[in-house]
Amino acid sequence: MSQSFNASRVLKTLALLAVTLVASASSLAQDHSATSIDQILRKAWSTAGLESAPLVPDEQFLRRVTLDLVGRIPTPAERASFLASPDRDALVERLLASDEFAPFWADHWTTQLYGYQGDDSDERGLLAEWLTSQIGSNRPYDQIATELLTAKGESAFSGPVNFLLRYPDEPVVKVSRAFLGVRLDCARCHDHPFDRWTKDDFAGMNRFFDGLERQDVSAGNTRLVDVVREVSPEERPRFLTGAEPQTSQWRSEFSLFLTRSRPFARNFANRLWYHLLGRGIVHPVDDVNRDNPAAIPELLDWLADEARQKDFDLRHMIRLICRSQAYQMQSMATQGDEQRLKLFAVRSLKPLTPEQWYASMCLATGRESTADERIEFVLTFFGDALNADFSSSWEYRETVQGLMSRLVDPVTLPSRDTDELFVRFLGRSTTPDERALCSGRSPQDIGFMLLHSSEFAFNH
Amino acid sequence: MKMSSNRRQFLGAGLGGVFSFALRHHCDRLFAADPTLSQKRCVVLWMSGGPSQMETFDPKPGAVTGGPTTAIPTAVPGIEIAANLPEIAKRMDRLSIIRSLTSPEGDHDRGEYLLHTGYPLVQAFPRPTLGSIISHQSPIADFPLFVSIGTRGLGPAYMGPDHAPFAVEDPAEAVQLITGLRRQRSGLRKLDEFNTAFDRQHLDTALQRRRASLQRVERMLTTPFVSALDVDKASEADRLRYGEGEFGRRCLLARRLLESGVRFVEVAHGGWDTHDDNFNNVARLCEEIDRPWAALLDDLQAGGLWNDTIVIWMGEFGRTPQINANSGRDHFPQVTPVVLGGGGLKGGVVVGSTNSTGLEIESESVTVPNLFATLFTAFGLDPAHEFRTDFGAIAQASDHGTPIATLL
Repeated sequence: MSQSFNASRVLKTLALLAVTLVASASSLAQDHSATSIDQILRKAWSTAGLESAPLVPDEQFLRRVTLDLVGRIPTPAERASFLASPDRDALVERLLASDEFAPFWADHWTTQLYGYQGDDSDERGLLAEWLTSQIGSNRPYDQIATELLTAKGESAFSGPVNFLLRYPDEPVVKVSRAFLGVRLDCARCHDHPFDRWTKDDFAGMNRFFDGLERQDVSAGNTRLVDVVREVSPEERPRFLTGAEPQTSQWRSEFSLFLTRSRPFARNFANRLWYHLLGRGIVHPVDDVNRDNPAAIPELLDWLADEARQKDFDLRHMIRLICRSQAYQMQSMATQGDEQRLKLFAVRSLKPLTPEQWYASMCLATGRESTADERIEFVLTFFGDALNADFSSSWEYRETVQGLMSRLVDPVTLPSRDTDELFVRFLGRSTTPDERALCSGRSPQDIGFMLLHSSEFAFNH
Repeated sequence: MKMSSNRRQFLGAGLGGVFSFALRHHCDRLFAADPTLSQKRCVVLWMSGGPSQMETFDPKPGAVTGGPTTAIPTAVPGIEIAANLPEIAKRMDRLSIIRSLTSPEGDHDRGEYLLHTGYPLVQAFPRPTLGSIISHQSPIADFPLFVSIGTRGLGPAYMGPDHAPFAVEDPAEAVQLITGLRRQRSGLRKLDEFNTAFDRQHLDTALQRRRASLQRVERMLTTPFVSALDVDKASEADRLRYGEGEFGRRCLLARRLLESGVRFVEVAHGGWDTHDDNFNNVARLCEEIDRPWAALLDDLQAGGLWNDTIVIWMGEFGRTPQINANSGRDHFPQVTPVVLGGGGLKGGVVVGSTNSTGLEIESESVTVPNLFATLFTAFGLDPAHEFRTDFGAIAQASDHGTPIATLL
């Protein structure tokens, strides 16, 4: 009796939500489709009196977008073919359709959601594998999030269940950062010092996960199940919006509240923008709070609306952003350009992630990439200091020890010709100055210099 | 016009840009750090697996739980410890024993985390290990201030990668790394030259940090830290006193590193998870640590570092007073033995006691946060000091612990 009553309440709530969503969607549809990323940005630049940077040359665009979409530098052959017919939109399409796209993004998201472990664990691998298949079939992001938050089953068999299993204590801290860009970390001990979140908000959100139970099935295999909890009204979970669950399926309702909320869409848009542009519209991406407003609120809202209208289609969003002027701009900046960087009138730099660096190093040097070496390399890059949070991909996290061990790693050489080495490592031709700098030096020295150069270590 | 003059200034600044970045960083630190802190050092002797208190610092000869372990008098009248540690017994006046530390964590990883950070493990809110905090609170140097010997060590969390442990899993490998880098010195200088153009054309914190790290690597090669790493260079007499065992070499390396300016050294010693054959195993383990540990205490005193260097002996938890069917002892976090001294801490003190069987704490129960509050106070850092994490949260140095007054 009471179950069907609850179920009908949920349906009503859902219907209401749907009506609100459709209404808000149609009201903005007209002016939404009539505008674009570039128009919003041009308005912002002219208001702020900023000059935008020129677009990058083709070979730099190729390197940038290849690193961003499939996680490695382009090969000399890819460079030659692109320069022969430099159609940027077609290149983006090729990369989006490439077999390398899903594994790279899945790996990247796995790091954000799960982090690393001392060794690359089976659980992490299962989560990455599952994400690869989801991204491969272009599953809408809200559905991916829902499954991560509601997954049940055993860690040795289910990919998505390993996300929540990773955070046995206070999962809501990670969940709200990953999916809302909100840091409840502070509110766990006291009211948020510079936001409206209170200790009660934190407790209310965390209670959505109170029904979670971990059961040890066998060595290395844990089962995640829900147990129904009867609680007094004041001990019920409460979403940040004030919404409370109507059924006993707290996690399912949480994921509904979450994925239907505007901050969820904004967070999705902002994180994609951050991945591609190197700087969030709200920056850092997981610090949405009153004292840290969006640099260009119209842009964030436009992208969030676009995401909702297009059913959180990852490839569609990437395509839109990569085609924009802001994405294709040069990154040269000096002191005094802080405001231009903040409003995307000039591109930000991004250090390659360890995974991008390793894949690119293997390509440039002709070294064979192996799974074991790759894991070992990633672990050493961070100097084994892996219990950090990986929300910000483009932070420089390399330890001095990680850097040292890379510097002594012998560089294998695919060629002894200076010009060819420049193309392989940096994806560009040699300048006369550089040719002078390199003359009389051994190919080995030149390879060392190119591999460890800033230009190689960054996506620019 | 204005643009170009800014640009010229920036170009002209060159290395100055990096320097002022480092300087800003440094000033930040000075602002946060207590000046009395600058001299303090710490060495943690980490007994991995969880050492038995019953066979080390809280023996119960004659009790039903005591096993064959006997007790011996120490340099301090009234304090007796297990006969397994005769050299340490002679130096008991310098060390204090905490017999009443209790911890909730009976799992190896969680216990290790708690005893390294002073906080329970919460995956979504990583805490820095003590070594990273000490590194962060010390004046900047061209070499790592936190070295972890024989273990990879836990991470720096919000203290950032500059305060990650420099892991010396095998001293020979570390020496090889340095030798390899020495061969790359001219390459490093040419790399710096090549990077200059790109680095000047871009304005980015990550870029500046990487450039600073590369320069730090080059400068490190000429610091005493590098020669200290080469433990084979130690005198014959030193090597004899520390013994040829692995733990002895690690302790000797620790002393050399502390003398070279390193602020925090963790020395790992494995094998203490004695579920089987506890008595023979712990006797052997104690023999492995007794002389090197004593030599370290003697050298720190002789070298004038004793009053600035805290020495802590501990592991992730203690072991059950009940003896299991395999003559072993199992995990017992309820009583976790800790021995500490130096750095201004009192020696010859016993904090708390357990009852005749060792099953219950009888007096002065102490928590892990209390231990950490004591250590922070000895370092001159307020245990309630609030760090601001890179993700905006405020984190107290100690998890609401109060210092153990009898040790200070």
